Amino acid sequence: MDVIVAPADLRRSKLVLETLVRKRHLVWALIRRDVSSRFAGSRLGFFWSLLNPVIQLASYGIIFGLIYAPANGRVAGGSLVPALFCGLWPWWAFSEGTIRGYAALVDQSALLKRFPMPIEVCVVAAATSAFLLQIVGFALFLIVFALLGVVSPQMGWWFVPGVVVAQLVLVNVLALVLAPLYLVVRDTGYVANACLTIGFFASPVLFVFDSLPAGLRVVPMLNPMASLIGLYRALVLGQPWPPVISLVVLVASITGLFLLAGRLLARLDGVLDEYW
Amino acid sequence: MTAAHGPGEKRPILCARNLGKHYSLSRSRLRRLWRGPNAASRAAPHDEGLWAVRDVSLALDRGDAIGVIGANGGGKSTLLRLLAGTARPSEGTIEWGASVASLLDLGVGFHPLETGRENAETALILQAGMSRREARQRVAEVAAFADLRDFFDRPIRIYSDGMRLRLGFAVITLLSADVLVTDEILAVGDQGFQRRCEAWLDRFMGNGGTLILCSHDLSQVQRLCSHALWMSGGRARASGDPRAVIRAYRQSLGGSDDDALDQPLPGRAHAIGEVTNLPFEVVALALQDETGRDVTSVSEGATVLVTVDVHAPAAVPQVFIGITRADLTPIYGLASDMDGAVPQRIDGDRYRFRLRFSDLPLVPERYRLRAHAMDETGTRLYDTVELTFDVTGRPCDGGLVRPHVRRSSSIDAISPPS
Repeated sequence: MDVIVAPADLRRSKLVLETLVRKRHLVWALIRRDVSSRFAGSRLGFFWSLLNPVIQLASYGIIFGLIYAPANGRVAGGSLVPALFCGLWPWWAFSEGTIRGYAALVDQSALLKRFPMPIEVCVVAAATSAFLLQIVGFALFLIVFALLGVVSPQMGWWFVPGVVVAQLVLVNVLALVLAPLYLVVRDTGYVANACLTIGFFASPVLFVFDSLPAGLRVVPMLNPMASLIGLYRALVLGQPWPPVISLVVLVASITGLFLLAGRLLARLDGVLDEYW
Repeated sequence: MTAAHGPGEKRPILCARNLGKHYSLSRSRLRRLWRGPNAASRAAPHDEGLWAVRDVSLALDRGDAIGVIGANGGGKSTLLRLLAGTARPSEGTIEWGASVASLLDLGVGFHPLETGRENAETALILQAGMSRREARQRVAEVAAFADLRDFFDRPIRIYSDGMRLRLGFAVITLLSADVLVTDEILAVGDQGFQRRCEAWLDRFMGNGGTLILCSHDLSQVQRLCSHALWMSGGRARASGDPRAVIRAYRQSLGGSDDDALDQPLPGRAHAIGEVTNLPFEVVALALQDETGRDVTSVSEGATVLVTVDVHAPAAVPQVFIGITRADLTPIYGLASDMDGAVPQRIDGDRYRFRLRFSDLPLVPERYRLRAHAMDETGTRLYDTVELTFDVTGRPCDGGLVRPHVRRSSSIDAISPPS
């Protein structure tokens, strides 16, 4: 019988998944510890993590709803704040999760130096805890907006967790690519932050697909976050679905990043411990 | 310890072959990234790098205890990290045939604002791979060992360093690892806690545990380890019998004369009558029956006398006497200073301490009787001598001791007389 030997990179990618399943208790423990330690000693705890998104939401709401109101007549669905909410909050979750995830190996270097812990566990736990905190905030404000009549509950809400899971996977595979690079070359952090800033404006956070000139609509379609934000808006607000091409880009991005993470880890596994 | 095994031989619990760990000195981290895991072998000509460990091979069997010694920068810590699995070798291989617990920095990873209980739970999940439910169930055992009382449920930011280390060590005692890799064992907490750690370590070793200890305390290495490995310049300079390896190491440091080097180190167990010339030395240990006759076998419930003679020219020694089962499970221990008893001077610098056990409650089994010579403050252990003895009698249905129990179905029959 012929045996097909998977390339080392693919094996490493597969190992990432196996490790995460095998060490799920550890991942969960690290998530809990990360969350509790972040708010330990703080009286308002979790609510501080909501502060920045709320300030941004309010600021953009005022800027685009009042100051530049005439320019926003083309926001699909009619209401600016819900559309901003469905763009800003998922972006915050993406950004926070990515940043915390890629910094995890540096932040936890003392632990990694003394305990044989798979690095994927460390990265995924950090990225997931930061991401989930923002998603919990998203869910809370969704309920508040529903109670205030800002948004109307609809069937699509039942499918939002699926989008959340897809975004969580995207955040984690991106963090797995960036974390070893950041550990070895700290400039990676500056580059990643700059890319996140560009990505924010290149994603339909402050606009919708339809508001772009026809020639520019392809740009956000190549951005996996554009697809996710489109899905959030479609499911939460009943806005039009994002273009199919952007969904393809999302799936391709996740797959590509996952394989890239495997390639990087297969290449760097033996030298990463020199940097913690 | 055996040499790295060959094909067909019995597989050791841990086998390392030609271990090497290379650190690049190249300033270009991008270049290093590009070269990847085999950076050492593909290093650029101008990047000689640093071999922290090179060509080290060792194989450990169950129950082995190896002490890694050497000067700073010799490669001890790197070797320990490789063996613990927190660093990967640049060359060579390591095969683990058992679970390994790393005790390289007690208390690392504890969160200062969380309680001892919360930190212990997380540590059990982290280090022992327990589920949260299991960790919650077993955290009581950590609490019992650490003996931090009310502090266990308080944030560890208010702990002293010693308390933090106690918590860290207590977590370690719950790891069901076969190999313990450590660099600071028995330097934890106060004297009482250190004794508890020693007892735990005795049990660990008695149960077939394997110890890899890195220490600058040569007496500790000689006392605890059956093998020693001297690391120098990243390479194994010598390995084998601890006494010989330590002697070679000391000589390399420009040590003292050969006579002094030949002396067993403080705390070294030796045979009765073997002269050690230690400042506090056990020169005689006897187990006698009521008639004063030396015995190696006593009946259950008999009265026995223990006599320990210590040679101590400088000060009045403290004597510690312990009884363990043959597998080193502690049964009983007593220090001469516990009840204010002072060993009596019997001849010049020779002191005697005697104990009388009436109605010996030990169950039929083989036991070890140990006598330890301590300094006058009872803080430093200098010498250990032990003998084995058997207790004979009717078989016991369990337990370590058989206390005097009156059995009756009537509560009046066993109540003390009014």
